Amino acid sequence: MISSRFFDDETMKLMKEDFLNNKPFPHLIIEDFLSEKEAKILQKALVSEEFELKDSDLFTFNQTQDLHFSNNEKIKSFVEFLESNDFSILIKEITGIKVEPGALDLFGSCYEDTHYLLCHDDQLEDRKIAYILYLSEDFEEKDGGALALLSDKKGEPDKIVKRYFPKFNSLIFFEVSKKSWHQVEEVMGKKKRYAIGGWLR
Amino acid sequence: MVKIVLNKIYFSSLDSIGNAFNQNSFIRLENFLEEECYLQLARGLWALQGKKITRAAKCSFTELNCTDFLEEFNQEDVLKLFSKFTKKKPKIKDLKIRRFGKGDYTLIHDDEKKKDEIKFYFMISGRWDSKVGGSLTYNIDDSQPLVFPIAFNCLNVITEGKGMHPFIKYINHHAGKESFILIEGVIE
Repeated sequence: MISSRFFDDETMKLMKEDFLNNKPFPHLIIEDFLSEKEAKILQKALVSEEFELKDSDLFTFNQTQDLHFSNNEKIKSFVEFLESNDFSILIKEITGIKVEPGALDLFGSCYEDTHYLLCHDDQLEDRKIAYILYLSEDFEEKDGGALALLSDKKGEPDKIVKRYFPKFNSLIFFEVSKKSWHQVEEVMGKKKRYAIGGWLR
Repeated sequence: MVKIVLNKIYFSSLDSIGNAFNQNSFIRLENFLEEECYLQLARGLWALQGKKITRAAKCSFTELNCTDFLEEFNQEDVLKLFSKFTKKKPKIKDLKIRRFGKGDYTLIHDDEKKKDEIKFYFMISGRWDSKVGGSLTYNIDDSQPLVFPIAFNCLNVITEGKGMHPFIKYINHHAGKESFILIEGVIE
């Protein structure tokens, strides 16, 4: 599933540097992560999954079951890929963080008009890397739905430093820490923000 | 200072209000104040300047200066009603006045309550559609959430105890320029 371009030495070097140097905390965005064909197949598979509304003080959005339990062959294939040695090696090479092959959580999400996820750091148990693969049509400023990354000041989130609007077939991942403050800004309008995401441990 | 005048319906049924509160540990009194009194109080509050408080992982709202309004809630009729909840001469403390609009919210605190407290929340708003958010919500351990939608001239009183976690639901973009004011305090 991974394009051979990721194993080019120069590309790998650039990704490592970007990951470590990106502010406000180590993260990387990789555009065109899968082939376009595979991404579209996966998108179709995700949209056909059953979603349930999740609602609390911190968030409102739709979520699938744990995708390890999906019956869809395309989803299963993607799960296998994320659990593979190849993927954990790629992550280790880029981030310097060792993740266990197969030790991951993953869910599908769908944010619709007014849905959001307020600021938090993702720290829980042994989460090491948070990742999200966008499988919706491209979002613009007027659509909302951006992943916003915030700086840390004395242990609390401070200012928005980076904002990423969902772009189809882009993968974002970041190191989970007590400073990895982030939020999904409210979606405004008719576009549906589909993604597969979770954590590597 | 605004002369507080309770809606006649409530003023003449203080005992049954007290009984209902003791039975359920909460009560919601819509059209709480007499209309003209409410409008006068609301006008004063809407005119207040405030300070925007944004702590992304905790809350977002505008804090209004409440010094001048403490006396409003220390008036005889209000204290008479509140005495039905505390079963003694009540004292009001920890008064806060906050304005909430689009993008505002509060999140559940981690700190656990050490003892039960009787809290009141008085709502001042125009027509508010609960679909835009803003509801005062309690997550309650092992139970369904308790939700108090925003409604104008509405008093909510609740015994907040262990296992009860209040928050103001995020207000979404459909609120437009609308906002509401929440007066909050402890009845001791």
